[in-house]
Amino acid sequence: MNPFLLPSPTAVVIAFIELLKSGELLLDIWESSSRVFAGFALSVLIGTPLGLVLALSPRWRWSVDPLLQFLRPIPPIAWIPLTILWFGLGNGPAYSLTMIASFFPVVLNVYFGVSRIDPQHLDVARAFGATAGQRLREVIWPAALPSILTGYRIGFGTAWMAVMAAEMVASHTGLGYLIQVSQNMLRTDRVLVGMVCIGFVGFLFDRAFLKLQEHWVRWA
Amino acid sequence: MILDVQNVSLNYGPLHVLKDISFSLRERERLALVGPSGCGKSTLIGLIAGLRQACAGQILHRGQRVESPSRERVVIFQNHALFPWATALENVEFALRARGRKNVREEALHWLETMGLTPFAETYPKQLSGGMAQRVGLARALAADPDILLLDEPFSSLDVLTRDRLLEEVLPALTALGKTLILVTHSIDEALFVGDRVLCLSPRPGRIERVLETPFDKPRRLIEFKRQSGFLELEARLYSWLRGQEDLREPDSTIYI
Ligand SMILES: Nc1ncnc2c1ncn2[C@@H]1O[C@H](COP(=O)(O)OP(=O)(O)O)[C@@H](O)[C@H]1O
Ligand SMILES: [Mg+2]
Repeated sequence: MNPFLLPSPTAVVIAFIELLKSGELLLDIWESSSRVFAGFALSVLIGTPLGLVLALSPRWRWSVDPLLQFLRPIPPIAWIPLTILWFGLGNGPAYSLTMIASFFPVVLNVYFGVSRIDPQHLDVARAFGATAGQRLREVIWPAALPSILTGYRIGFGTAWMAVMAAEMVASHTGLGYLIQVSQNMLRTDRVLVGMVCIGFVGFLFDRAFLKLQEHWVRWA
Repeated sequence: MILDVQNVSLNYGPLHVLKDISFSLRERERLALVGPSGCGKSTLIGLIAGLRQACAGQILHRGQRVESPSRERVVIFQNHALFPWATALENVEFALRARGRKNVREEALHWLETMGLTPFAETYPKQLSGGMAQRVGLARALAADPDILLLDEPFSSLDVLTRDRLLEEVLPALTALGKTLILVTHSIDEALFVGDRVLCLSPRPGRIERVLETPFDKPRRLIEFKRQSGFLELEARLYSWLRGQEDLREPDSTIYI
């Protein structure tokens, strides 16, 4: 077969070693990861309280939920043109895309987890005289934690996918950029190296989240 | 009187669940509440706890109108309602912190010990048997130090041997603490064993049909309790009353208003 269409495994391994030695690959992995962490952290910081408020306040649900459901079907890629206009090329579009991509899984799973709490547990907490803060910290939060962590895990995964799209269009570093530029240079072997790394690193992150989840919700 | 239930009625839409319920509780009294399922026992417990509001009438707890839940009236539910994310110890600690206590660990361990749970302190509810979980529920409720304990069929899902052991161990502990309590149960011997009085609730609408005094000694063991003269007769009376209530329910579509 034409090696441009599908290079041999040996060629891919050689390309991998090359990129590793030059330090390019590790830098790209670092760049992509840090962008994902930045956008994801923003999502968690904004999305977690928003999910809580949506679940606990009918008024907020009534006014914010339609907006969320309207924005949700817009794929992260569709935001690229706007984010480039607003932030220019570089990290701006990548941060916003990873944030947009992880925002909905985070908000919706927090919301889901909190609204599904057994009302009897809330009754117990109220009957024992727990303050609102105590109910939030010691009942609502731990009860919803399994869903919340699932939301974080899914959100991180979608952010990882979104950063590739952002880098292919609006950046000069990262695994997404590596794939894009290698395609332009007809280096299919490097494209494959990039794809394998995206898959493998994404897998490692997911495993790490799973371990954290198992550690924090031992009781389930 | 520690608790006064005065002419309390409650409807769910067109369904009259409770109608004109009145009774009082004396200090340290144990009241058993029996009646066929669906007659409104849990609803009544919820009203006393302050988790729901009556449509008419009022409930006074030491002269104060019951309007919201309070740790002075703690409910123990059939399914124990323990927090699954917390160990036995943490469940008890929660009740203590909710009371505003600091440094709750020692005290929580003490309550676990009272219920014979010391080896299970670090165990999560899903790893506990039904009887053990119910003990944790009791320890948690006692840690809240309520004025009145409301027990809504806490022993119904336990096998008879476990239940008897629990009753025999828990009752003396409650007596020692001088707790006033209301116990909802289907079980006639449980009602007679625990209750100083037995309140019989008839269904649709839930009304107090009769109140039985239990003129028995309270030996520690259930089996000795049942050997007393007069026990069988009272048991039979309660049994036939309950059976009669069951028959009333046959035409299931009818709502007695
Ligand atoms: N939230 C509710 N809405 C409507 N009907 C209810 C509700 N809760 C209980 N009921 C009805 O009230 C009646 C009494 O229920 P409950 O107090 O749970 O009975 P018990 O504890 O004696 O078995 C039942 O017929 C039940 O169907
Ligand atoms: Mg009930």
